[in-house]
Amino acid sequence: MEARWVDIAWTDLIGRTQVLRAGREACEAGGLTVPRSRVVSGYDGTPDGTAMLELRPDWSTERALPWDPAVAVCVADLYEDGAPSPCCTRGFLRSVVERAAARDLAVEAAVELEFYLVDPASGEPVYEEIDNYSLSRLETEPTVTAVRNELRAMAIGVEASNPEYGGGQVEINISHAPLLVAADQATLARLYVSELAGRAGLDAVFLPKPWTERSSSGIHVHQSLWRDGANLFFRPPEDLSDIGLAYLAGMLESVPSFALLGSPTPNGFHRRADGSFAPTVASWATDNRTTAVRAVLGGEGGTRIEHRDGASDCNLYLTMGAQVLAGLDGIERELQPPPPVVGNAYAQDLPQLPRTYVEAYERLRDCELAARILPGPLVGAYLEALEPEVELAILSAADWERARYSRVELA
Amino acid sequence: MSVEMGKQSLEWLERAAADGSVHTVRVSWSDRFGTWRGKRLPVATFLANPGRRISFCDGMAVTDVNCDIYESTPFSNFETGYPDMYLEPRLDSLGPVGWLDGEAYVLGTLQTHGGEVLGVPARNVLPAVLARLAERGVELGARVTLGGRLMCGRGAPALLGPGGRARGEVGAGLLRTAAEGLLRSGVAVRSIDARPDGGFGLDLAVLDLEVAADQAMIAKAALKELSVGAGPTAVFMTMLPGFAAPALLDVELSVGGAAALDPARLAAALTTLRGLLQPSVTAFKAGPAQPSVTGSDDADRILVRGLGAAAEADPATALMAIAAAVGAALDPEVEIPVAPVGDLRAAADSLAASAWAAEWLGTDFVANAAPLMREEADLFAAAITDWELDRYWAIG
Repeated sequence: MEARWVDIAWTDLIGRTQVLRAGREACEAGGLTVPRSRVVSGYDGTPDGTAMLELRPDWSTERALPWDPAVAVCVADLYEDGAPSPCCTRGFLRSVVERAAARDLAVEAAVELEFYLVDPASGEPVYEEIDNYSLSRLETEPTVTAVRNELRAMAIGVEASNPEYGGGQVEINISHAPLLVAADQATLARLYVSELAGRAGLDAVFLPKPWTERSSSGIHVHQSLWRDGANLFFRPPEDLSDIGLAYLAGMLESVPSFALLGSPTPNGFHRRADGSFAPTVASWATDNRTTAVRAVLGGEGGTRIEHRDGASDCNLYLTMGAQVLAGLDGIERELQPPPPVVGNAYAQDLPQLPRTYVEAYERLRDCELAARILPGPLVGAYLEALEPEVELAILSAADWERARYSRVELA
Repeated sequence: MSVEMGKQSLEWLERAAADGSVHTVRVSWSDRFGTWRGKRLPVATFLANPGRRISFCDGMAVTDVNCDIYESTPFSNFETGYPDMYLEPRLDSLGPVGWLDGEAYVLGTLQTHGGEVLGVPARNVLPAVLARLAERGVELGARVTLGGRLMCGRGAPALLGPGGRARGEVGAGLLRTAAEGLLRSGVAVRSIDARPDGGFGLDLAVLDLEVAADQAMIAKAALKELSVGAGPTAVFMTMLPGFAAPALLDVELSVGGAAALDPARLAAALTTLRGLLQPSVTAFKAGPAQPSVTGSDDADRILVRGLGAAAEADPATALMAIAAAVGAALDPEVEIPVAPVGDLRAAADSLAASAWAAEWLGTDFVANAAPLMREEADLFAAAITDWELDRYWAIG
């Protein structure tokens, strides 16, 4: 029996997925709308104007909620005046898929999600100790077990989970899938991790760097190109192909100037510290966690390129689409990557990634590559949405600055 | 859930997945402290390719007790870039997690990308040591008793009644619950020795050393997991205030194929490897091993006790060290210096300098174990302890 209610899930420019619950008949009849300002207004959420965007469900994404059979969720695209809205990041990713398909290329992607499970009463992680890959953290495992099992029941391909390097930090791995499907699954997974954590009385925190002294959370996106069932990144017996290297080169070229696309908040830039396992320089190597881009050699089925720069709260459609477009651009231009890093990328003299929000904003704004390969209205709207954050990043005085530099104790 | 004890098969897991009694498989290994680590996979994912190798950051093979990483370990550091290591499941280790509904486990062997067995994890070195002994016609069995204490907070031992149930505990109590769960998991628990002062010993049956290592590690994990939440906590710290005797990983070793074993040579060999048997600064307070060698009921075997492994020790590391020490002690060609090892730094130096240890344990293992002992010793040397604060605060 079809669910009576449908949660129409849509994602705003900066990556927040929101839900409009409507009766099935209303959804099927069409005409559900959301104010345009809610999509484009950024963190302030200031209502502006009367323009409305239509939510068009992509019914291929419909899936029931296992814990509430009366409700199904369905991802929607945003339409404006009957056409795909330039502010719809899912539509942007769909266009990337189409662009690859025009070259007879299929993009597969797999996403690693990281987040903290936090006790709402204390605001602290549910356990303190670093205990990476531990199987015995039963403080979090009932919740994480529910996440794995319920998401799989929703046909979201969770294939593994483990405690990550921070106390109370969790990683879940979602199986590789066609690019748009992968982004949908990861987006829904992030939405419902929060829901399932809440049901367990916990908060799931996707803020990239909630605490100074604890490990940060990122998004790692594993990508490969396929044609006629063959992985084009694989060169036997165990290497990255020329097309893979060109893709990697294009992606690598974009990392410094596209950083803001993967890190929409100033908080995301606190990840960038030498030795943090978040990248600080534009770098690549095979199986090296100090680099921004990591080639993973996994045989014919598993050879792929991992982009390690995105923050855990990014807009997945925008981030993944930009990464893939940059990679495709590298193929089109037949780029060659620089030599792979040997050793510790943090200790090498390589092009720096932006360390501050302001720098990242300016780099994207002034980037020729972005202007050439990314949709101008989309990037323009994204920059406009985040402009207030630039000012806040500059003007805000942090607690630690008061504590460290003031001779007088200040509130 | 219908549980069959002992080793399970893939067919068992397929049935359990189909009837919904298992939803998750722990694909797993034990670290250098015997902590059970791995990833949880949905059972369908595991069954789609049971032999699939699972990747982990290789830095986890050389972390300290707090999961901190150090540049002094040649195996993994920022210069190596922390690549992946790969766990190949050992399908003959498959079993249910008997104390937690819905989960199964499989242990594995850590390998390089190319499939070579890593020489750093003790669990990988143990079979090589045993094989070397077998070449000499020597075969070992071990009866392991996992010692610890049930505590209700620091300084507050749980008072245990008959069968190990703590005063105020609801239900069967942690120890019995763990033992029953372990039996369902295929771990050969023989008995629970629960002392009124909170100390306990979980006695496992006589087993070959690899199985003993795996089962003791799983037993520790069960006790730790069941300690989460209300009720007493299982603590494996060797020395605790209020307890005169140390908590041990007590190994009774049965040696076959050896006419005699010199306890003095064995004691010297164990001293060389003392940092592997007593991996913390506190464990050293238990004193060195004082092995006793006796005959057994089986005329062809020798029994060895007093092998000196601390409760904190990783079972695989301890059994590997014990087996290697026996091998060295049995070989009259091996020179075993007799030199006391008083602390972790001395233990590191002793291990690093020992030619026979490098030969028996492998240079990879020694080259990474010794620096970590030194790091631990340095951390302790730099620490200001509560004892010092209490004693010297008002001095002068």
